[in-house]
Amino acid sequence: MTHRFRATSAILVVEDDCLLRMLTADIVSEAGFVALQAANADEALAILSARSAVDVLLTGVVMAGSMDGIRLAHEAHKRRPLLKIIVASGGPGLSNARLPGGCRTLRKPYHAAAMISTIDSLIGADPDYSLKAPHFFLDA
Amino acid sequence: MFDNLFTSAADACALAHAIVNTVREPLVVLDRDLRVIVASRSFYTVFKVTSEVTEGRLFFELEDGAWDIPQLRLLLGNILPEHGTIEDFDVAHDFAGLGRRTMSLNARQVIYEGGAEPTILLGIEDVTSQRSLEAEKDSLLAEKDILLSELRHRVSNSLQIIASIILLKATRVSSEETRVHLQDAHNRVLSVATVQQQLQVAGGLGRIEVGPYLAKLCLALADSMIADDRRIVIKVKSEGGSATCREAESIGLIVTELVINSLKHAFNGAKKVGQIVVGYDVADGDWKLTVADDGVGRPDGLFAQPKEGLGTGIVNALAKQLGAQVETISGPEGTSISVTHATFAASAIRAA
Repeated sequence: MTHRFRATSAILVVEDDCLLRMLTADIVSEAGFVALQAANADEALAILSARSAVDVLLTGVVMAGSMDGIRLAHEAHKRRPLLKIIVASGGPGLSNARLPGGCRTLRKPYHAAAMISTIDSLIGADPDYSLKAPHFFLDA
Repeated sequence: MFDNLFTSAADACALAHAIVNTVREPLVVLDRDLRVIVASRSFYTVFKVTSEVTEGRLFFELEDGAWDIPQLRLLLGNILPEHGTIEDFDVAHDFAGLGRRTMSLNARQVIYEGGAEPTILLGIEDVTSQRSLEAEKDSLLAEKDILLSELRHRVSNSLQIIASIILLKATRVSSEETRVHLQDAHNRVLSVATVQQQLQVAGGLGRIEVGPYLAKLCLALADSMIADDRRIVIKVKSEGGSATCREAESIGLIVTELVINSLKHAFNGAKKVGQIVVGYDVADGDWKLTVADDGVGRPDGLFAQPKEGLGTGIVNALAKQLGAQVETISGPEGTSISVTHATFAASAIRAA
């Protein structure tokens, strides 16, 4: 029923490496979502306050700027408790205890399929119903 | 012996004075009120003061109150009478004529059976350079940790970039065959990264316990490779054994290839439920790695691919590097692939 979910769900990709940010946003929009981009926590928070329609925040941990991804997750959760949050880290063992409740983690580098299915499960989208890339992102 | 030599109080006293004046570290003798009874020559030399302005004064008044620290007052006044000694209490202070120094204090309470008032022996050791070396070492270690985590961050970002580019290429090609190959490449980049990450978790340098390492690796593989609609369990059975980092890397890559192989061929389409068992056993310096699935086997008993694929090539090359033999058994019950390392010595013992 829910390809609508992907097409109407906005994913805010926060990453200070510009190439990785662009590629991640591309993968997110290839999967049918609306992709927004921010280069650091301040940009991300500015987008969150200016735009109500953001469903998922996908952020890295290590970032230049006033706060890292973990602090951004807390700040974003404080401002918008309903926002779904995914934190991707290349470091060993990012514990959920350091993140607000309900946050999901990804170990970098992650499979695009794992990232997309994490977003799907957070927003309750049906992964089998995708117009642009059916099944593609879930093939192992 | 000591007791027998100094039966006269005067002799013992002379020895005590000699000791106080011989020690190289500054030493002061305090009475129960913490007044200086006497200080060693080294004390006067180091702190550039005379006995006139030192003896008879409260210890806390010396050096413009350098020692007048609430914690030290507590230690000397309360803890010392109860416990008898204080060890390595550091005092950092800008001493007149000495500059900024860190002094380590050691104190011992002396109680006399002859009825004299108890005294305190207080040794003062200049540990400035020692402490600054320790601080330098700590900061170097901290810097090393920062560099290492920065490096990990960059490596994982770079791998994510490579994997993402390959995947995006895959979404944009029209040939189905090319698309599958590109997806395969995407998965391989991530598999190599997974093995490296699990090696880091397992210890990084030196020998690695193979069992826990494979367990974590398989958990990561299951998380990333098994789509939600498939009920495939990866189990690890190992009764110990350790390997060098390099061997563990090869073993990890072999397991990854074989698990991917099983997921791709044994549980394709029709069969979506089953298990893959990864076993690692050791005996007398030999080891045997097995990856067995209960999926759709190959009736012809060959390695489960029509022609020698990249995965098979990788497994064979890594096995050769480890000095191990690859054997495949496949049938309707599934496929089992074993990689066995048997040394000549161990096989000779078995033969005898």
